[in-house]
Amino acid sequence: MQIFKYYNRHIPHMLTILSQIQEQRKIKKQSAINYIHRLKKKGLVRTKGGRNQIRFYYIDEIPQAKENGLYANLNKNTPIKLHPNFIHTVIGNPYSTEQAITDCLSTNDSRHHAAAYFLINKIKDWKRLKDKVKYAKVASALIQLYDLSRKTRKTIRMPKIIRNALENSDESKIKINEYDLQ
Amino acid sequence: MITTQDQDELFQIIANKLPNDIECIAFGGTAMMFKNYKRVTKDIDLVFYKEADRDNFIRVIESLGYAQKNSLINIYSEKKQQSNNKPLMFTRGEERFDLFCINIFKTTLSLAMIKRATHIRDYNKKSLFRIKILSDEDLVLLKSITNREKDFEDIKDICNLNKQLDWQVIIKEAIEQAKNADDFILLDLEETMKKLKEHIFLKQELFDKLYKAM
Repeated sequence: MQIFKYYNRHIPHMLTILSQIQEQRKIKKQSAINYIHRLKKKGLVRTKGGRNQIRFYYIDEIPQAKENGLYANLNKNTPIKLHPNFIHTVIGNPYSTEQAITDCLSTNDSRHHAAAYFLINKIKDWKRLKDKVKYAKVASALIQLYDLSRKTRKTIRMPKIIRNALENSDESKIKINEYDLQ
Repeated sequence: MITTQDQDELFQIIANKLPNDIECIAFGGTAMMFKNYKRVTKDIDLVFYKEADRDNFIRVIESLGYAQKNSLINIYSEKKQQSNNKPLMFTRGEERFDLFCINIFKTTLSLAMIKRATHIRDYNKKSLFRIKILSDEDLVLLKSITNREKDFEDIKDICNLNKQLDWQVIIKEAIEQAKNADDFILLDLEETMKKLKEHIFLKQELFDKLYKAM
């Protein structure tokens, strides 16, 4: 809810429900559903609620970009659910797990570190991860997180050449606390 | 003039040509476009954290046909033209890149400003080109410093569209900047606020706070 509010704070949008659309447009329920469907296709509708709750429809004037960045990735792939601190949009190739880990470690926040912990087993490209953490200066934080992960659960092995490269570029002052991750 | 869609496509091409990942901050017209305050802009204002990143970026845009423009006449005031931290400007046709590094004239890009960034846009191609977009408060502050032709109009637009604009944050940041090096920031801000008072309601306590810090 808060993200919607923040996202659209300068663009007027209309909050409505199905029965209200029926009343305003003087149409049947099915016609109102069709109307919403047509708007949704244009990317002008975002929804909230449903099931036992009344479904709210936020109707925008301008199509809104879908969230496909850090928080969309974390909330989908980890049990840690985070409220977005910023609106993250990725254009081009999909947002990678390696980038998500780097961004989580850069935030210096324990909830983000906990989320990164769950992404370790999803790393596919260690070299890319090494380059990214080196650029963000969080190499030692990654080693700490990896060691902790190895200690507490079954974790994929980090190639030795990557580990050596990361240990030699010890720049970050971030400390990963074991208790924060529990 | 460049539209949001053109800008997105241009940045994707740049991301595809970059030798490594680059992160920068957008302010001015570019930031306003990403926040849907504007449809088109003439200048793309970017601030880089590192000189090396800016050099890499320049190499790529030069390969795309952008040429450096040495004269800042008719764009910035005389005072700004003599600044050591003036931008490197590259033009092609109607659009123009204004590329700063760490400092925007006398104003330094503070950590608080970066943390306040509300939007992040990643152009993920061969390399990652990340643009952080400053908060509305910082946009207003920076626009009042640069003080170009249409900057006041932009400030007015932001104030009219964003009713939750926190002037306390703006003044706090201006005072911090004034403490560091930028002695003119408070004067510039006060001038803008006085002009703005004719269009929107600004409390007297905000002015008092500014005068106290001067």
